[in-house]
Amino acid sequence: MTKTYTYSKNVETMARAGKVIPSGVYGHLGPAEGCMIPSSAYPFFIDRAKGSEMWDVDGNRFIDFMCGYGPNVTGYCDEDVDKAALEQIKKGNCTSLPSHIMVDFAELLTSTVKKDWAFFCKNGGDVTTFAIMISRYYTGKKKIVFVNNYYHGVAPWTQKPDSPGTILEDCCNSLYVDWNDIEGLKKVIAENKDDIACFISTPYMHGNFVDNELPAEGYWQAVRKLCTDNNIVLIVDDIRAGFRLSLEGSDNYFGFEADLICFCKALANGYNVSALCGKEFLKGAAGTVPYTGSYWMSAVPFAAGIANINKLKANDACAHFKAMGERLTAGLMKTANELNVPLVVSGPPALFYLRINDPAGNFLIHQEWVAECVRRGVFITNHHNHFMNLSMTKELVDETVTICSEAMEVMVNNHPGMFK
Amino acid sequence: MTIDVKTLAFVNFYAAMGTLEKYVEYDETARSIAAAQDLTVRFKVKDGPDGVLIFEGGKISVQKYDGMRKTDIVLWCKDPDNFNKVVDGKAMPIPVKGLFKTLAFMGKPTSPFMQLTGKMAEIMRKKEFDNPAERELSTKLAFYAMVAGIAQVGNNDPIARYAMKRVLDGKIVLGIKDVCYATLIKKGGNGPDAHLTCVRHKEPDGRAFMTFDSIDTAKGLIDGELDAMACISGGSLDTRGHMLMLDNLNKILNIVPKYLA
Repeated sequence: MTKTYTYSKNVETMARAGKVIPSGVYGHLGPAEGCMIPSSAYPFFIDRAKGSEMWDVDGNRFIDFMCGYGPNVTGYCDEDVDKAALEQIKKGNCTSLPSHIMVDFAELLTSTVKKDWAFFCKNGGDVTTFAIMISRYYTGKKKIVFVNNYYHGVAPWTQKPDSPGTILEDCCNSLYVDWNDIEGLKKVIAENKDDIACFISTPYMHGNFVDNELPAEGYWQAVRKLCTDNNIVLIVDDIRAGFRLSLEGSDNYFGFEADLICFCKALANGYNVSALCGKEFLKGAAGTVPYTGSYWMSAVPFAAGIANINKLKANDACAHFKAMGERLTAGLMKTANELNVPLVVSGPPALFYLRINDPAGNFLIHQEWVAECVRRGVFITNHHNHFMNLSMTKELVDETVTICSEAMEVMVNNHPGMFK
Repeated sequence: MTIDVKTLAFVNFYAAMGTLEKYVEYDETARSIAAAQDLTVRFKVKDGPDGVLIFEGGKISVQKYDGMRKTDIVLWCKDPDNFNKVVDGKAMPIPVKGLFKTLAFMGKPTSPFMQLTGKMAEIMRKKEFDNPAERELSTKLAFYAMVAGIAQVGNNDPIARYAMKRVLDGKIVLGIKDVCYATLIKKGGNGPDAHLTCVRHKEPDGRAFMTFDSIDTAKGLIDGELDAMACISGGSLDTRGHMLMLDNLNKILNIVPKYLA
């Protein structure tokens, strides 16, 4: 039986954090938004990370399938990416004129994702917001069509009126349709004729607490045609899935062409850069809308991004992500079937989502299993899809299956009679 | 944040007056006052709540008026604002049935209704307590008022309704561990019939759960003296189950204090 972890230094550090940082750890890496249930099963702070593993402040080792919620795509502290970044640090980072490598990065990125231009920012929310501004400026229209269960950042335009800090007027141009619902989209377009600036969506539905759904046959092609026919800018938010399904961007993976596509997480293996890439007809608008930031042209992330993309290409990364995801989910399903646990795997293998189906629909059993996995050194979550990275090995996957299987047995034994 | 007077009227009736149900259950003196009454009082508020306060066998229940129940007293308020003033003791409702019973019921400070509501409000607002039992009673009453307030604010406040509609159908169990529990029941999906109902006990088959580990944690959080995120990190506030339900519930909860202040 694997020894379960304790977290005394984590707890101590969180107590300090709570005094000087709102919520201790705010946002998706924190215990609340990160759905660390129960919080006693989870670490809060990391001491170091390498490849696919991380060690917390108590010295506990974890095999990490969250990858920083996406950015870790080549491997933590990847030597090639870090070397490129360190070399650029010596040459200059945040300077009065941008480094020429910004152009190198833009050329590499646009040729990789088959778009005509790239605009660099820092976070995913920077580029989704810019995409909305460009579409409004270009079309002269104001409304945004969202797909229910979406997440495009935390700016007020992405929120609902009940969200703290958002007001009703922030949301009055928002329209909503269901995923894979072409008829619903047609209806919304008909009802808002000449008012819709853009349609924004992730390439497939990877909402939290729901089984992830791929596009239905012909869905994206139908969306593309509706957008073209109605002068609606088609924006793909590829911040989470980008570079994990295909290095060419998820629009190309699913056989259609976005007008604007947003990248961030996997762009530079954790170095802070995001990019909006677009088609030629929107380049003028992108250059006209006022948008800039103090660190948006920092050279170090560009150098890291170049090294990262080249390494992903050289190693056929997406095939590796898929193979590792399939190996892991097959191993977990084998155990689940043996123990009669109704485990559901959804989404692409590179970004698999797990859920134990329970009649009450309350996730308690699933959360219990995930907590037992974390206590034994596999860092997964109960609410969100997971991520594969290039440094993941068959050996680590097999170790993960062993640990998660033991955790599942513990969970099953806690509920005699439930899984017969 | 703007206070919606209609929402406030619903909160005043179902969450504030509604907590009398628990007050008479917990407090012997209150129970004896209630036991001396055996009547049904209807509060009919134009464009607001239309409900009954039922005194029966030393218990009180607060319900929506079903159009059938026999009433002893009917009190009319011309609008929600007028009702809110009645609750604040700044106006009197118009008794359209049972004038003399009304005078006996709430005509002066020593009348049973005034005594019950006055004492309950005093305990709930108290900051310094004579003993731990009084502090516990105050916290439990505040807890029940808060949960019932979530339902009323979610159903009526124009902004909170956005969040209420997005709460998935099912039960959310809230509680102070091993002390007291309440359940919010969401029905009606995301459409116009969407609504929340509060029951003051723990229901089975919950889909989401929020549990304070102690009276101290509950009191600290309800009074705004503790940080909810810190409590989650430290384990003194346990949240589990379908977290999207709690996420939307929290958006309503953020709005509740302005109505219960």
